[in-house]
Amino acid sequence: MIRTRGEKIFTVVNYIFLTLLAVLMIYPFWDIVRISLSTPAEAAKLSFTLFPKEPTTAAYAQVFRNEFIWQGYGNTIIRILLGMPLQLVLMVATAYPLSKKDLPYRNVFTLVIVFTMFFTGGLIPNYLLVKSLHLDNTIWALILPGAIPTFNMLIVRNNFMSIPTSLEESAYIDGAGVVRTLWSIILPLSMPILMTVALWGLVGHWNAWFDCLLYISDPDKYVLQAILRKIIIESAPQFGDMAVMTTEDNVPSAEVVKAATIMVSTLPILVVYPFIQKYFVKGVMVGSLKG
Amino acid sequence: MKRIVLGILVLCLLVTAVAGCGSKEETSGGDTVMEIKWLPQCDSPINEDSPVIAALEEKFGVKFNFVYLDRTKQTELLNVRIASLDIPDVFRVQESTSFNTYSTQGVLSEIPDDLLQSKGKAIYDTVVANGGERVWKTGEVGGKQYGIPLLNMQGTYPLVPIWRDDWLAKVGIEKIPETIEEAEAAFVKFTNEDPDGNGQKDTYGLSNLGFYAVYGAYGTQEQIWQEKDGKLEYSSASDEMREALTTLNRWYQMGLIDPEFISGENKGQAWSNAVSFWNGKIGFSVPGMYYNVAPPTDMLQPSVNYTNFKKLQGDNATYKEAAPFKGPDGKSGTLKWGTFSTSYMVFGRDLANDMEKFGKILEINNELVSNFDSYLLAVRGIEGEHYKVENDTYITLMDSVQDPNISAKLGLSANGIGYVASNNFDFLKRSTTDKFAYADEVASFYGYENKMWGNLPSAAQYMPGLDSKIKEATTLFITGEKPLSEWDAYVADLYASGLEQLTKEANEWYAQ
Amino acid sequence: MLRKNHRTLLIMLIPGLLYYLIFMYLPMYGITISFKDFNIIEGINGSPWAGLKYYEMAFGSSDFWRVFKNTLIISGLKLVINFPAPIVLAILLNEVRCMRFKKVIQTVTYLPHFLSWVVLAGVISAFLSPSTGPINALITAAGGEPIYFLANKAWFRPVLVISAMWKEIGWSSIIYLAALSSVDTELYEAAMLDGAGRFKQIIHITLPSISNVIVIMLIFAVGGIVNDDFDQVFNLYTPAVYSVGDVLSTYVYRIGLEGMQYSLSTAIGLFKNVIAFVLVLGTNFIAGKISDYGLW
Repeated sequence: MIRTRGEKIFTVVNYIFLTLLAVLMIYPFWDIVRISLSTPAEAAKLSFTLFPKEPTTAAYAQVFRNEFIWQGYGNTIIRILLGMPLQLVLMVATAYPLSKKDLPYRNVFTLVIVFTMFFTGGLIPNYLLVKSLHLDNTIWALILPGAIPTFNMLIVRNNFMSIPTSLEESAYIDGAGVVRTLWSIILPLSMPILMTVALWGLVGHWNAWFDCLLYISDPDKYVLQAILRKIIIESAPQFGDMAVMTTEDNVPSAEVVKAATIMVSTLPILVVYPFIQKYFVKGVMVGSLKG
Repeated sequence: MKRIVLGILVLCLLVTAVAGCGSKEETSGGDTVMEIKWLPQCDSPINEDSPVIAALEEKFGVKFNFVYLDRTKQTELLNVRIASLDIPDVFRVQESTSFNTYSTQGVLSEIPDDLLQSKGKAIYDTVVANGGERVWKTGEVGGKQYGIPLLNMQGTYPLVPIWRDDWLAKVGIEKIPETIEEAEAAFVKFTNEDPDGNGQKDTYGLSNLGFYAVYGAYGTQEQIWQEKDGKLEYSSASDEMREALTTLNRWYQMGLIDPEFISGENKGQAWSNAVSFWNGKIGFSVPGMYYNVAPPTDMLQPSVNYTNFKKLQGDNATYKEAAPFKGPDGKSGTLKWGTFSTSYMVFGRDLANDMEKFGKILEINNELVSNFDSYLLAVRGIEGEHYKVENDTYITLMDSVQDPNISAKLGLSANGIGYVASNNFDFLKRSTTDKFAYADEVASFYGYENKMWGNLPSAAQYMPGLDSKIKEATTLFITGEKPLSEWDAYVADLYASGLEQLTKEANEWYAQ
Repeated sequence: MLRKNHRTLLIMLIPGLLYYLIFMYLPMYGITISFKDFNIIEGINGSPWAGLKYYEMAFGSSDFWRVFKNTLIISGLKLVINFPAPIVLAILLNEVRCMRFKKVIQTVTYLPHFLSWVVLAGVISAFLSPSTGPINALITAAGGEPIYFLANKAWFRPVLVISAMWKEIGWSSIIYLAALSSVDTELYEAAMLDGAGRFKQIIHITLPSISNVIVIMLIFAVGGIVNDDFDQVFNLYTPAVYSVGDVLSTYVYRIGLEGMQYSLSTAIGLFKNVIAFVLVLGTNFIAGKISDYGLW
């Protein structure tokens, strides 16, 4: 590989810059870790510290004492396992036809769809709709209303549009149908983008909580984030009645519990990313298919 | 382009075709045992096997069907349920605008006078005895009684100032400052004489929570309606406030006020958590109620402020509760919430068609304010299990260290059916003598109270805008970014931005 | 394309269209709430019409235009500065040859995305504190006066822009990294044979190859200029910076607090979204003129 002096300097600067950036990015996260392991008093300390002086896992103990927490993880995973594939299938099925410039009424369909990104009925009509479809208190209330994230779908569609039509045409000439072409040519070429929108969908489902508060009434059907919110609220009763108010050292404050819930909810999702990263380095495919 | 126009036409058709599809459903009633759908305070969902609720159900011969709605999103969640006509039989409205809206839009059942007389006489009597006829009347909308006002005895105690007495001793001041001049002298020394002995000039006199005492010294408090010559006036636009802000501005210039008062002494934690005080940055604060500053006693758990202060400043650091300092005219005091909590217990519209159930609900609430045993059961739980009685003192037995929210899970007090229980001050005093002994000791000085708790018709329109104007100006007047010479223009602007109308309405209310 | 294929494609489209019909268009009657005096028991369709009352109420308030201006300024700054930032990051990451380093940096930079503003606000105000924060410690060590960033009118908007970039840059770069990975490597090889340096490669190969993604992201980012991040502003602002930091969403929140102002807040939302929709269509039109990509 040819390397000029300028390129070498660029490489060095680039590495240094990215490292600094990473340090800046990890700092807030580290601070949350520190708070989650601190006593309430230490967490409220104003001076700048990196490590807890008397580390305690009391906040984690409080989080995991909740009887519904494991069920919360379970429900969230079910939600993702049902919701994410459904999103992908519907997104591809909608995006592929819309990516064909000669599809009849294509612009009408697109407009009808894009319109919904800006104009929605609002909370009350949505609630009444879900109730009248008898979806309330079922997991489908958390999956169906967001079955097609429109923005993601448009990203997928644009990606389909950027694939050279010559590839498809040669497939048609070979006698392949629409579905077959989509499956064996278009989708493999779109893996990085599909993985990205899958990740977006996954994280969206993972972080969602308001729809659960809205539609689900049984606590054993609550998703993880809703359970974690409950734990935070419970750690700070609204009107401290003195008869039961407690400030023993080992009872974590709302701030500490909040920090612990963040760790509990983000660590699993961080593990997912490296699996998806795999698909981001297979950029050779276009070339190999062309050849 | 043609296609886009066509698309828009299709859209319009869809929207209009669909515009008639909001469906509604009725909820079904109970079977043999009377079921009461109750929305409690929701600090936590009530355990299904709570022995307290089971005992209450047995006592009253009903089944309580508790609804859990996440506390931080309760308004939204309740409103969608109301919109689908799924309305709890009993719930609380925390705010007068919503109370008014619910009443006029038919969400609530009117409390029939004869039913109240026959089943709920004591409910009415306690409100009148502890709050007065005027408070009861605030539950009336359009000549009909829709809500039972909820009272709060804690509101009769003002917020309590605390001083770093170890700092005072260190800078050579022997007694706790009693006048604003003495306070100023102490703040100057706190700021300049290194009371924490770390060799750095990093301490201040006070931060924003301490302002309660400063406002009080000039005879006012922030954003309350106060009486002057028989008329109501909004405190933020009063001369007293100008004087108080003049002093605060002078103190700020002298460096006595922590510049970070702007982001708040509580640093985003609960309002009464004096984080700057715990950190030894300031030597004076008015963090909250007496129970927010309480040290541990034989009877009392230490407050959050006490525990964290000791933990961060060490065991040798001390603070002392004190009466607020007096201003130039001898006035002094802090804020007092007042007895009326501005919230109401209300009854869902379905009860209007079920007088038997409505009567039963009133009967239950009547019991809570007239029968001490029922009160104890609903508020403190089962004797021997959740509390014990020793020398007329009621001591909590719950292992609260294990779970700070255990009372919510049991369904005690407002977390269960006890909304109205707080209206009987007598019962509260009888069952918590220890607590009020301390309260009477440290909080028996004057407190300024909001004199207006009615629902002003234009409040929703003007109050939010005024509120942010006032908050902004207060901060800028103190820092000097906005000179106090602009005070008159500022007051004129407040009146022009709706305060004129609100003052008129407040005085109409007050004259009634 | 063949007619038969069109039929298959249209059939393929049916589930998606049904979704939009049921979950988007069926509840859309809710928009009418902004033209009505909403009565919660009567429902949206049963409530009496109020004409433009709530629009007059919203636009008549001097507060409205002040907060709307703030929203446009803050979001405009974010568009100009924070839109290109993740693209630059993605390109810089793409230039990294050491895969392990690249993966670590990528994972770390997207961490802040998972922290909510409530939590980040605590971290940021501690970080920027004039008395105890590390930034001001650096400033004073260098002989400067400490700056109270969160209470300083000149600094507050930059703080919003930079903190938003800090939170989202890594997460937003994922889509560009994905797009970059589909760039045909043959193109680079050919360019290198022609003697093009790395900078030239970035300009002539990398950027054009991901322009389809950039364009669609940009189209919607421009529409987003009328939106602001409620959680960010609400958790970071102080009364001292209301005049520069108070935005539409915090304003709507305030009026919503004093009772159930559904009609008013829907009216403001609708106003905003009409502008956003027009902006998106406009940007799309321009994008269509200068590139091959766009919404249609």
